[in-house]
Amino acid sequence: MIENLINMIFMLIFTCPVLVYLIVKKQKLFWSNIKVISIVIFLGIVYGMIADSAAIHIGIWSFYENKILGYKIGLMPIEDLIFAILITCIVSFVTLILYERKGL
Amino acid sequence: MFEYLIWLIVFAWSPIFVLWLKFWKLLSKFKRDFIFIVVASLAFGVVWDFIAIETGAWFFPQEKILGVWILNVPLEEWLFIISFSFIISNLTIILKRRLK
Repeated sequence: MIENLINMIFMLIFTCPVLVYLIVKKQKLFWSNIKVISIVIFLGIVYGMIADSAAIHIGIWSFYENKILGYKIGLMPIEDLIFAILITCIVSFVTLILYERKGL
Repeated sequence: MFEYLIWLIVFAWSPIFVLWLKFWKLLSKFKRDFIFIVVASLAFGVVWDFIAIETGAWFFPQEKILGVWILNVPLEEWLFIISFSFIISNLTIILKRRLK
């Protein structure tokens, strides 16, 4: 069972500390831009599902079935969906931090 | 051999081309920020990919990629990280400006 969690554990280790740190450090900026971040995440999920399913269908990348939880949306493993959400959130938020620094 | 590259052209570089065609004036103001985002994403993403490949969390069938590996990560995966961090930051800037 622990083997099935490997992919998920990697993802959480690499993303959650960064995301939590950024949100704690820049709380005000995060919440004042929650609409922008939410829309980007939504687009990331929809586009990610299409692109990821195509990639898996073509066989560009593959997962060892014993290293994932096994829950899928279409061809997309749940790990990839969470990946799309977390990474989109981090990149979008860092972009907004840089945007605000520019003072435009 | 070219499958991953073709996938990148369709799903990553085409949207980037369209976004820049439509919003080049706005996006070109943020070139330095995009470079920072891409470099940070690479530093972070390649380490993640390297560990994931080494531990067998995921893999790339040899016949679908060019076969060029940098730091044990396929070239296409480097391009994936660059392209998608770039698209996300492009979209964020456009939406931020539109929803102002």
